[in-house]
Amino acid sequence: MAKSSTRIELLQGTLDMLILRTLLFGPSHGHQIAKHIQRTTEEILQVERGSLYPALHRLERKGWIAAKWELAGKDLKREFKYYRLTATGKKQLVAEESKWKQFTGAIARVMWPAEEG
Amino acid sequence: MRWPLGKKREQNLERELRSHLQLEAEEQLERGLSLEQAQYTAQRVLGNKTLLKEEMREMWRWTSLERFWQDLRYAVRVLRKNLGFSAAAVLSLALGIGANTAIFSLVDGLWMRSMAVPRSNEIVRLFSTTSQNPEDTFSYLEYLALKDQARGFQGLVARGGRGIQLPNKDGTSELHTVNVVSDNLFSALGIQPLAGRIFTPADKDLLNHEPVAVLGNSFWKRRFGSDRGIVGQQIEFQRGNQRVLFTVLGVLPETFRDR
Repeated sequence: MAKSSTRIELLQGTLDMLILRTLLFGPSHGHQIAKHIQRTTEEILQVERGSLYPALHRLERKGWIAAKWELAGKDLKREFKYYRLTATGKKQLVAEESKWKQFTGAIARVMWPAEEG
Repeated sequence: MRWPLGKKREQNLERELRSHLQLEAEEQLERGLSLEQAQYTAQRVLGNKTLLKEEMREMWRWTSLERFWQDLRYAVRVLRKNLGFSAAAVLSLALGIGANTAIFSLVDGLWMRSMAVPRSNEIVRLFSTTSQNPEDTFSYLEYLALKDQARGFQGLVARGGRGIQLPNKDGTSELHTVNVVSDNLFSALGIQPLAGRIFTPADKDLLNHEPVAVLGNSFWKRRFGSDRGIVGQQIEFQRGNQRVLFTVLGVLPETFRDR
């Protein structure tokens, strides 16, 4: 896997939140989730397989997402493991989001004090 | 001892990864790679079972053992500081036995058979796999943890190689490899001494207080001219600036070959 110096490492737990948020759009398989995050962030965030799948399985174990194998692809002959957000997952997402807002707000107040009226 | 990843879960993850990699290969095709190149890439990625497996192991290690590893890294650091040469090292000279501790087991009967260890075909060698090293070793603390959890085995022994210097009278020194081994090594493998005695887990107190060594046969012949009187004597090992006296507890038979 190519290592780029502009790549930003995700903070622990942040990937989980991004996955949950991505799944709010509807069920997706791993590859779609990774693509979505990459495209939305204009490739700034690269989601590596090595962190994506452990995260998905961890979230599944926690019951925040549920998975199901389904046939898809051009000819409906290929199977993918689709993940969807569960009700607890949605609640978790809300909690994570507010925690994240607090966090970034706190960082912002230190970094750009003038901008905070 | 069980790898935390169940068979079914492993197959599932493999299926999942496979479809992911397939999509990646297709993307490359769309990006303008020639069909030939894309097929090659796809084959390389998909046909490479080892790559898949390695990636999976890496993931599961991370998922299941994340915290365990953090503890371990700490343990290894602590051990490197403390266990070195100065601790109650249990040395057995040139004992070419590989009873390393591990997560993946590998039957290595042929190798052991040459050592004249009874029932050598029942011995498995364990090692860990990391991204840096496919055959990595374990720390002593890790060994202790594994030993506690080992089910279906009569015993789990540990061995680690160390390079030492043996000072000669004329001021020069010989370089040797010694094996730092667990106290149960000889009893678990059913090895009897040629002269003197071997140590067992019952020698715990002795091992904690006094550095002792069991000599390999060829080393004993070469260095001490097969002198049985060496048993009970002390020999000096040097490692870096440290010099430590080890008491010779016994000598191993010729059938138990030094490496």
